[in-house]
Amino acid sequence: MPSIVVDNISFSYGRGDVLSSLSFRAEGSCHISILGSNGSGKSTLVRLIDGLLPLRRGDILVNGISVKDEKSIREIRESIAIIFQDPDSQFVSPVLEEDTAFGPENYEMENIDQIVSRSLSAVSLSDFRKRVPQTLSGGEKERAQIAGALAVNPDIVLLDESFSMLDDDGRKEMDALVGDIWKERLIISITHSADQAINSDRVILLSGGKLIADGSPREVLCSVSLLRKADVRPPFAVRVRESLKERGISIPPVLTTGELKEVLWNFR
Amino acid sequence: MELIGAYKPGTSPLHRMDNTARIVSFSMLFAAFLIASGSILGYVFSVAVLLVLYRTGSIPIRPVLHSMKRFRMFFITIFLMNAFFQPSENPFFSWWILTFSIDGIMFGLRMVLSVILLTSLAALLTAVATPLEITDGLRTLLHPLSFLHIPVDQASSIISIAISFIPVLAAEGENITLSALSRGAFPGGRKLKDKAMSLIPLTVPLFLSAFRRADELSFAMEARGYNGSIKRRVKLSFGLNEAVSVFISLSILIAAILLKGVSIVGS
Ligand SMILES: Nc1ncnc2c1ncn2[C@@H]1O[C@H](COP(=O)(O)OP(=O)(O)OP(=O)(O)O)[C@@H](O)[C@H]1O
Ligand SMILES: [Mg+2]
Repeated sequence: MPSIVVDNISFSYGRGDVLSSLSFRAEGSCHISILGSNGSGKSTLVRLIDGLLPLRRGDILVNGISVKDEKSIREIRESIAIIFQDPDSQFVSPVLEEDTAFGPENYEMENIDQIVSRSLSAVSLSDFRKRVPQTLSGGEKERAQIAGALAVNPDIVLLDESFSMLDDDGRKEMDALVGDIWKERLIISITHSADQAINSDRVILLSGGKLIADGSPREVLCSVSLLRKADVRPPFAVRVRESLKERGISIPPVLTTGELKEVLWNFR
Repeated sequence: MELIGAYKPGTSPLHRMDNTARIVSFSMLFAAFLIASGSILGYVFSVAVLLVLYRTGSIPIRPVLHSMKRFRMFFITIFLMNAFFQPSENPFFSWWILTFSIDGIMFGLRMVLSVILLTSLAALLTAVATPLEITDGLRTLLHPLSFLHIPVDQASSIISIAISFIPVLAAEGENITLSALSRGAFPGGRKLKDKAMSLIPLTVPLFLSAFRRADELSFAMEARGYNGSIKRRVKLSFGLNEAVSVFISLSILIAAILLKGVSIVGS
């Protein structure tokens, strides 16, 4: 069972802590959102989990292995796939299939050709094998990233604002694809938008490098005061409920737009 | 925008050949071009070889020459630098350290021609081989150096990353230029100095974004298990195609040396 244990970590790039005394654990096949405003330390956390930055204070265990153990870092990276924000600065090759094969080759996997074909077909890019990745459309680039991650068959998938270059519909499509491909895995998505965190199983809220809430989307995202403290705009439905309240109209707590519609319908 | 030296997928013999054999062949060709430069016969020879090579790789040469136009300032600079600083027996005029003569002009022209030929050859290499393939070849070729504790793997990776960055940076340069234009950059100024000054606000963001991208790319590569010292696909597949190409390049190199000999004896 995939697991990540973050144990009281602090991190600084030089001046001032970017993360301080952060702890949480994530286990099994579930989808966790890490929510925080710009500069709250989300990307730093992602890099630390994959052993891309040196951790000195506290510890992180990935599937039971410490990221501080240099000999095992390869094993850790093999079990984690990360999709970063800007696809253009992640392509390593001017041919799509070579880019998809990059991870499997580094991990010296077998039947790489087959893996590449399967990965590309899972994201419907089979016809684009020979394409120059930079010439793909925005959505295709993201799917190419997913294929590259899929090819290493990870236990854990980290999405650092991965699809934020797409429009709303495009992003929903990618989220659905990711949810479908990695149903059985641990998915952690990083975002600064509360609306994007609604559909996850659990939300961790960061503010200034500290964990200030950890719970179900309903617990965390309906609390306007918590979100305000983290400088995160509440989800759409919650904002509507807030402004109605300011005008003296009070409705029961809602999280999703669907619930809001329902409540307003009954309210009439 | 047609980018000089951008990779073009294909199935030509140059595309298909073994990575190490390709690097070996191209190194010999580079040497041949360098040796042949200087005499008119040598240039005719190099141009002919270049045309045949582009044909073999099914890469059209016209767009390459066309995109060289963008570097004309660079070529003019090379020409002037060489034309004026070449000492000569019978100059048209000579002032301070500057000398202007037929010899100088010829020398300047030769330099420009050589640079164009070598750039075209390099552009062909990057058009038929991906950065990872070039790295792969370089790594095997330079492997003996690692016994001298020279970090061959890292050096090859750096070269590969630099090559894969060219298209990204070119696109970015264009974006930055457009955004500078839209914010009123490049007012009037026709003088060379004005033009040069107006480039400064463009280069700074380009460098910054290059650093940012290099940073992001290196994190992304490491996250995907890349570690400069991992041995990538060791596929030395030395077949007929490879033997023929190495043999041909070697012959071209020898021909260039002979040609040099002939032109020295002839003069
Ligand atoms: N390489 C670096 N050197 C110095 N400081 C850095 C570096 N990278 C990030 N920081 C700083 O660390 C803090 C946290 O950055 P981080 O990228 O982790 O935030 P984030 O939550 O991912 O923000 P965003 O939502 O903008 O992506 C910021 O104040 C940032 O300026
Ligand atoms: Mg970030």
